[in-house]
Amino acid sequence: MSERTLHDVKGILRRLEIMADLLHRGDFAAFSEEEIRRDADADLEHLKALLKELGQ
Amino acid sequence: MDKIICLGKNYAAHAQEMKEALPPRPVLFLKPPSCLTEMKDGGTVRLPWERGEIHHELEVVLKLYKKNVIAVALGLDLTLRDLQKTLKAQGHPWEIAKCFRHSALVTPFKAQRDFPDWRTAEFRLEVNGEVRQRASLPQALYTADQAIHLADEHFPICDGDLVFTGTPEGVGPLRPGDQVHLLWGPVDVKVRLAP
Repeated sequence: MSERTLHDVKGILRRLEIMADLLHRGDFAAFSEEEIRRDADADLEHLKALLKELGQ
Repeated sequence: MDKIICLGKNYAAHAQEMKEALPPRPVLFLKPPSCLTEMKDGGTVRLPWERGEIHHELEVVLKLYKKNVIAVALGLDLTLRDLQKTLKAQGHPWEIAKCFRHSALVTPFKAQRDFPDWRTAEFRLEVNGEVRQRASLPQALYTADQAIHLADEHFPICDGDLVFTGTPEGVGPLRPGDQVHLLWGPVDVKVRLAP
């Protein structure tokens, strides 16, 4: 796993934490719930792809 | 969070009190996340008094997601002023005067919907009951959005990054045992500086 991949994983985890917090608080002042959920789905797919690279 | 982005000289009166020329654009510098401490109301923070005079710089802090503001807080960008002056006089970088444990103190963040007038509300810092700094964002040279744009021109912005938007006039020394009180709309946090 390259340092770049590790950096990307950390970035996604940070984003998911922020998105979970926004959803939890119902804070849709800057982004709609639909947009946040769409971003979260995309990030989860990206995270799966990165994790598959582990150990290969 | 990947980093803390700080603006310097974003308030003309602060540049004047520092007897420094106002640059055409605010200056930028970084603090690492290890400098960050969230203040708890009624809590205590221990600062490295042995390293020289520590100045408070009260600032509005933005939390970013997709380069947009998702939450705001007040922060103290603490500065080892003697060391910074020495380094500046020698023409050296002055990061070590800005980066030490607890040098980026922030109040708990408020969502925009819980503080809709944050862009215009007055913020202030009291030390032992005395008002030391008082301002509002419209007094800054760069607005919050312009500050984010400026930062984006120079740094790779990551989700969760924080932006310290610069300090107004009134910076000054802190002492062991001081009580600092940060106030801004729903933000109301007092902490004691441990001896």
